[in-house]
Amino acid sequence: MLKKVLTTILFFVITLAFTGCERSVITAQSLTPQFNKNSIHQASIELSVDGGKKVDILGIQEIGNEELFNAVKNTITTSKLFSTVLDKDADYRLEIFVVKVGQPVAGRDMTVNVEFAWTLKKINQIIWQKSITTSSTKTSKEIENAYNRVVAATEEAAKNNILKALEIISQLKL
Amino acid sequence: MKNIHKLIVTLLIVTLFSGCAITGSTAKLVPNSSVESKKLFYVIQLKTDKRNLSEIIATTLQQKGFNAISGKYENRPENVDVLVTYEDRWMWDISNYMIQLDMQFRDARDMYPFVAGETIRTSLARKTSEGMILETIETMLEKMKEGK
Repeated sequence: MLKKVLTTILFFVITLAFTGCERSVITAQSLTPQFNKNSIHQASIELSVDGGKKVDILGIQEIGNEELFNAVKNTITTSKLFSTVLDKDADYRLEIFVVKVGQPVAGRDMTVNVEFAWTLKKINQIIWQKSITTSSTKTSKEIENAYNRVVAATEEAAKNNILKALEIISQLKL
Repeated sequence: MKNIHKLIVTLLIVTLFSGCAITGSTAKLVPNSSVESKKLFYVIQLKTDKRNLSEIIATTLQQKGFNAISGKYENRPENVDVLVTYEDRWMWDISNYMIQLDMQFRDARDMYPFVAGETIRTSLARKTSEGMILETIETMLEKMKEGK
């Protein structure tokens, strides 16, 4: 009897392990928003990102520094907000700090609040600074898998944040 | 074969129960931030806060030696130096408990944060709201002390 029960448990564990739903992964591409500008600032820029982490202690994906760095870099490059993105010695330096990635652990409608602190410098002098909070809610109707719902809400909140910051930067008179 | 079964069951039980006790309290200093004075803290009450967490945060800050009050954002006094914001997440496991608390101290002039704290405690390691708030504030204050 015990053997049968144990065999059934083993069967379920193996089945669950191999049929587990496909999990979304947060990448630089999934964080890159559509942002259309054309040669706004005729200057070069360098970027730095800190404060982020790929996964929290509960195992939920957050926003990694590398992914956010590449997402912002791609957005600036594609939109031509600045003439070029350099590794160092650029005219301007944009520093982004991940202050918070507030994610739910359960729920049908999942809202993620993301806060990035943005600082634009010219020769180490701050010329613009703002901490921006953006949110995104994904419902169970939109995405059935709860884990993927959190990931999608995180990605959208981050994209909104990038858009908001770059929109403001595009309006600065540099 | 019987031994393998026993091992699997043991592993399952260990995994189930150890997974319920995850804890972590971290804080990070936000670069490019500065706050001139920390004389008066104002905890901005969340619209969704029905548990008076803003008051508990203000009381905890008072116990730590700070002058702190709480209320709605629009009612903040003009002479406030530091604005405190927070976000609480809850889970249900036999009863409701706070699984995560995020808190930020901000320069009252422009809302720019200078320190951000986060505490996560899962079911078996749960604390009261007061405990979660105290742990988060202590971690943030420790980080500020280290950063000086």
